[in-house]
This record gives sequence, structure tokens and C-alpha cells, in this order.
Amino acid sequence: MNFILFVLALTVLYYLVPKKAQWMVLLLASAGFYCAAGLRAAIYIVITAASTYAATLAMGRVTQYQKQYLAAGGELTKEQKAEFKKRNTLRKRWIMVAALVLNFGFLCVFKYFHFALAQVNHVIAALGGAQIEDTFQLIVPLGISFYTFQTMGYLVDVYWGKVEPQKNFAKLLLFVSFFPQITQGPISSYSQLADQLYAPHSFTYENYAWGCQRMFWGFFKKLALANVLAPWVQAVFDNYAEYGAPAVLMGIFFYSMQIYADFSGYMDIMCGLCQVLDIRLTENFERPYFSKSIAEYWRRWHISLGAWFKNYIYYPIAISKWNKKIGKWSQKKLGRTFGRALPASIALVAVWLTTGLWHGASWGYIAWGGVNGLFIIFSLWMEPVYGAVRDKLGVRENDRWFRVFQVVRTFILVSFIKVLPEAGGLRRGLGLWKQALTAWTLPHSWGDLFPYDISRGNLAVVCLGLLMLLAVSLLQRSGPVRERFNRVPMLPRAAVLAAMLFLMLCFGVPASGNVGGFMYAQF
Amino acid sequence: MRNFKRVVVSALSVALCFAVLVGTAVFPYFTMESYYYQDNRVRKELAGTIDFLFIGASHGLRAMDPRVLDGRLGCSSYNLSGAMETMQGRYHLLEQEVKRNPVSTVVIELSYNALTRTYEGSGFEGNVYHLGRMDNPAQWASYFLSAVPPRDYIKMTYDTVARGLNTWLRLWKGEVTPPVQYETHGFVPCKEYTPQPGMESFLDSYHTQRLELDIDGENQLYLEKMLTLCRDKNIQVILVVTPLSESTLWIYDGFDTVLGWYRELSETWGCPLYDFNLLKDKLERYPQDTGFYDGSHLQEEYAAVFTVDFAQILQMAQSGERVEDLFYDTYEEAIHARLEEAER
Repeated sequence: MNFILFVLALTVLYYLVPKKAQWMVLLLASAGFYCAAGLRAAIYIVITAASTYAATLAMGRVTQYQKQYLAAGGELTKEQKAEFKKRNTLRKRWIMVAALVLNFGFLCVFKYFHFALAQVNHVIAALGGAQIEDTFQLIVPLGISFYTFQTMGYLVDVYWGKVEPQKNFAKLLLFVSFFPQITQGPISSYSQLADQLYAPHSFTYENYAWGCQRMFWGFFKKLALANVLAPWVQAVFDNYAEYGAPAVLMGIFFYSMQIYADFSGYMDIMCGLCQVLDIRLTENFERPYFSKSIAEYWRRWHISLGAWFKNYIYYPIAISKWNKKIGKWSQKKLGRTFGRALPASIALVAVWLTTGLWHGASWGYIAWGGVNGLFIIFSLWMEPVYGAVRDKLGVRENDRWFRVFQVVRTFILVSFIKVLPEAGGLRRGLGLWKQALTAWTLPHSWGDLFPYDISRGNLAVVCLGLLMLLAVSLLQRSGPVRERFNRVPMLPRAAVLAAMLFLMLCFGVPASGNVGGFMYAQF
Repeated sequence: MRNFKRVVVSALSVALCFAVLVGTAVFPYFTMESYYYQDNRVRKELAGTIDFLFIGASHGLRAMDPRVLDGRLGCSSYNLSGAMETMQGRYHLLEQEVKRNPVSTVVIELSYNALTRTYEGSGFEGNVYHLGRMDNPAQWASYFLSAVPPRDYIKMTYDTVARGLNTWLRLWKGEVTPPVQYETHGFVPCKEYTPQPGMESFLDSYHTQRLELDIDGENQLYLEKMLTLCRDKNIQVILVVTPLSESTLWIYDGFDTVLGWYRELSETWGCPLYDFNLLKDKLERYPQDTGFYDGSHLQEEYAAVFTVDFAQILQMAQSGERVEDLFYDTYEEAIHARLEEAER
């Protein structure tokens, strides 16, 4: 309710103030939103913005000086110019590295300190030494993973000369702290988001209607699906050892649906809100459960994070001189196919270990990243074998049933991988896998499938919600669903929205206790 | 301007459709099951005939049987009490009934938390019931806006819709039973009893918990408004405290402080106060093993006893007899004296 009132007040104010001041309203709203989560955390986001501001301005000055110097110094030789550019690039690199170390340093301390100390203690214990007491109380600032990645992306873009440094600190602070994306992303690039934030915007009914409809859909996914599924999934994670495989498999399926409804629901709410404000956020989902391979799945799930890793980790490693050398060496030794796959695999290992760590400081998440990376690398290496087997079996790649098989296979794989870190640690995650694969008995009763407290009314709403999700996903293949929805006359349209609101109200679980929060906010 | 009109029209369309859905969902609850809504209909039918009103929260709702009172005093009474009824709600009900009835006596039931209970502590449940009893849309809106904070609008709608859906389900199963207000004139008896702890536990539990003793300004304001309303209309007011189980009196510390507030009120406004927890023969009249539904609500049979006792005390007072002798002076004195008496 508070959020809805906040959005209403923001929208009215945003369109009432002079257009030049709209970005200031967004900055104030972002500051209010962030400070509501704790004033102390706000210090770190300001430090991130300030250090990035100083670093990008310093890099900008180096670039400017270089341009002026080279324009003025016509008599310089080619070698002198190259030397001058090299020196300046080195200067900029040092500035960038300093800012990266500071900001990723904060991120590491807040997210990984306790985990790292625990590992050190394990080693000390193995050596028979005295343990270091973990008495530090670190409260992770809200959205630190998201805003650090977004800001560091901007820093690197300035270093690469892709974007000009922002000279107005308040405007940069808005880019860093823009509230709809601060807690769960998307991680937008500066070139995609910044201009929209600072540009003047006019109110249109279309933006309002489309934005509100998307928010409705997002709230429905969150309240009537994710929050209802949460206690059932938790029951399976907590008691999987006592449940048979059908119940555990059902829990794994429910978890896949829960996390999708939760995360994409949040994105729909925030993208809808931004659309009301005439701002388009980067899309983070593209029907991920219809992917035909794990690599494709990761191009369609949390798209902005994948893009960040691709731009700032995968490509820099893949095209680095040392990796190219490895590629040349491996092509000679292993042949063309495997020789090409090796440098990409090295970059993928780096990406997936970082992705695992980004999601959480635990061995479960590291293993989760590792398993994802392993599947992708394995597919990359085995591609020629797959092709040969397909040819031998006479299966065409675009055959509908083969595509259905690929989609179902990928869904099952990602569902299993997803639960690995979520059942309470790596060991329990592996235990859950084992239970799902070995404790097989055919379900004879309702209780065999749902051996926990489950209301049939809620189950009916979940089934209805999942069917709606499936229908919307299928319809999305042939264009935006809202475009078609808005062609329907107003009254039936209003009736559909009111029915969704009613279902949310009657069966949705409002935010409370361990059910309420958005799952991705913990990352 | 065109944009604005379209926004308003579309928002209103959604709101209208939503209201129709909510209305359909909650309709059977209010019309068939909620005794608060039925109570509203009964009071409307009895308008112009009631001369004796009893108003309070759940303690009063479960204690005063108007049928017994009418037989004893020859009046036409109605029990206006409601579960978790707020002081603001009591004032609105009283104002409405005093306007349309020839009321000569109002009994205000004051439980130990009548002045201290707050919205923050007890939530919106009392408001849901109270709103179900109101039939004037303007008053309804006014009460709703003043009593329920916006942060609870969604939860309250959810709660009401859930009651409605539950009634639909019970209708489907054929389990809906009509409320009994027509026969009881507002009184809702507790049919069962729960044996309360005996005197062997009294000393061990003595003052192990403390009553909330912060008076809420709003409660005081509406109580004084009720008293002012009655004074202006020349209506006799009687303050009454219904019996709690003896073990409850031993557990909580602070009853005498609350008694002090009510005595002060009684003196200031010149209205008699009868606290049935100070009754000398309380243990015999309201036995611990069968007298109570729980620690604070009387069971049906003893609600009738209470109503008889109350009527008798009124008659004694009217005939000039000293009723003070029937009561102890303080809670401390009462509980210890009764324990001694029982042990002897």
C-alpha cells in the first residue's frame, strides 16, 4: 500500500514539475526510497557515486588533454604519438583500476567477508591453530551488487571511450541510485538509461495504461503465484529427506515457478512503473523457460546480468592477448574445433565462477555457477558430436518435436541446477537431488504429491496463474500481449484487471515474514 | 485534458468492476451470517420501542441478556455491545439509537481495557464488525476514514472478502445458520464453559502479569462524548464492570488503578458504578468451574445470573437500599478476602 501511494505521489509530482526538473524528482524519490532502507547504507552508495564521478572526470580530463595535445602537436612523429597515447591509456587504466578496487572492495567486504573468514578458519582448524572470532557485524547495503555492477560498467565504458563522463554529480547519482532498479536490477548500461533519465517527458495515456497493466501483471505474479508457492517450496527444502521423489520433484518444479514469478514479477512492476514515467528499462526476461539449451536460457534469464558479464568479463578475457595465444596453441595441438572452444571455455569458467559468487557467498552458489558453466562448456565441446548423432538419427534441428524435447530437457536441467544452493547449503542441495532421483514410488494419493499444508483454493489459483503464465508466454511469440489486450473494449479490459486484482486480494499472500520479500533482493 | 479523462475513466472502470466482484463475494456474509449486519436490521425494526440500552465490548455482549432484564425490570432493553467494539463505534451506535428511541437508561460496560485498548494493539477486527452494523453510507464512510489507517485498507478488504468467500463455501455445503438477534435483542451467549484454574493456583499466579495502563486519549474523548450525549438528553447513565474469572483477577496487576479511573469518572459525571468483580459472594454466584467461557467472558447460564443480579441491584438502589455493602472496596481486598473465606 505504501509503495502504491509512493508511486502515485511520484507520478503526479513528476508530471507537474517543469520538465527540466523531472530528473530531480526522480533523484529525490530514489534518495527517499534508499534512505527508507537505512541511512547508513546510503553512505556507501554515495561513496560509489563519488568515486566513480571523480575517476570518470579524471579519465575524461586525460582524454581531453590527449586530444588537445595531439591536435596542437602537428610535428610529432607517429612513434611519439603512439608513446603519448600509450602513456595516457596507462594513466586512465590506473585511475579505472583504483576505482574498481575501491568499489569491488566494498562489495567483497560486505558480501564475502564472513564466508572468507569461515574458510580461513577451516584451514586454521585443519592445521590445528586458534580460530579467528567472527564478531564483525556487517549489514549489506541494499542493492550493493546491482548498483556496483551498473556503476562499474559505466566506469569501464568511459575508459573504453564508449560514453562521455557525466559532469553533473547529481545526475550521476541518479543513474547509480535510480530506485526501480536498485534492489534487483536490471543492470542498465549508461548509454541505454542515462539519457532517458535526464530527458523531459510528457504524460500520455498509452504509457499510463500499458505501464499500469504491466504492474498489475507483476503484482499478480508476485502475490498470487510466488508468495503462495513460497511456503510449499520451503516445506520441501526443509523436509525433503522425509518426502518421496514425487513430492520433491513437485517442490523443484514449484521452486522454478516461484523464482520466475518472483523475479519477473518484480521486473514487470518496475518496468511498468518506469513506463508510466515514460522511461524504458532494459528487459530482463525473454520467456526463459522456452530455451532450447542452457546457454540460450542464460541469454533469456536475467538478461542484463548476462550482458554485463559478457561485456566486462567474457569478451575482455576471450579477446585478451594471452587467451588468443592459448587459442593458437590449442588449435595446433587439439584441432580446429576444440582449439577454438578452449579460449571460449576459459572465459566461460571465469564468467560462471564470478556469476556463482555474485549470487551468494557460499559453496552452494559457487557449485551452482560451476555446474551451469560445465553444462555450457560441455555443450560447446560436444556440439560436433551432437550434430553427428542428429544426422545419424535423421532428426532435423528445426523439427517441432525435437524443439519441444530440447525445451523440456533444458527446463528439467535448469530446474535441478537452480535448487542446488537453495536447500540450505551444497550438501543439502545434493541430498535433495539424490532424494528426487532415488526415492521413487508412484504417487497414490494427494498426500504423496503434497505432504505439507496446502489449500485446494490456493492450488487452484496457482494452476490458473501458471496457465495464464503459459498462455502469455505463448502469445508473446507473436508480439506484445498488451498490444492485443489494449485493442479489447475498455469494460472487458477493466473486468480482466479487476478479476486479477480480486484474485490477488483473495488468494495472494501479502508481504510478511519470510514470504514477503523479493528473492533476488538477497543477491 | 483528454489524457486525464481517459485515465480517470479507465481507473473508474477497474474500480467499478472490482467493487462488483467484492460486493458479490461479501454479500452472503453480511446478509446471511454476520450477526452484526442482522443486528442492524433488528434495531431498525425495533426503532421507537427501546428505553433501556446496554453498550460495551465483548464482555458486555456475552453478559447481558435483555430478555431476562425485560422480565425483571419491565423495560424494553437492547444489548448494543459488540466484539472488540471501539469507543468511537460505541458513541456512533449510541447516538443513532438515542435519536430514534425513547431511551431513559444507558448502561455503559467498562472492561479493564476499555480506555487503554488501541488500534495498534488490537487491529481492525472491531472496525470490521462495527462497519457491518452501520447502514448510513455517509456515516459509514466517515467512520471508516477516521478509524482505519490507509495502510490497512488492503488487509481489511482481504479480511472481509475472505469472510464472504467462507460464507459462500458454507452455503455450498449447506452449513449457514441464521443469526439469533431477533430473539436475543443483541445478546450473543457463549454456549460452552471452560473450567478456570482453582484457588490452589491463585497465590502462585498472583500478579505475574500486568495490565496495560496507558489511557488512550481517543477512548477517553468518545467515552466523555457518550456521557455528554446522555446528560444533554437527560438519560440516566450507569457504569458497570462484568465479572471476570477469579484466576484472572489474581494474575493481573493493575485492576485497582483501572478501578480508580472508573470511580473518578463515576464521581465526576454523577453516575453509579457497579463492579461485579468486587461482589462479596462472587465465587458462589459465578463459579470458577462452570461460570466462564474463558477468563473474561461469562457462559450463557451465568450471563442470566449476572443479568438478574444487575437488575436486583438496580431495584435495590432505586428503592434507596445500600448496595455498597454488597461489594468490597478494592480488588486487592476482594480477592484476598474471598480466598480466605473459601479456605475457611
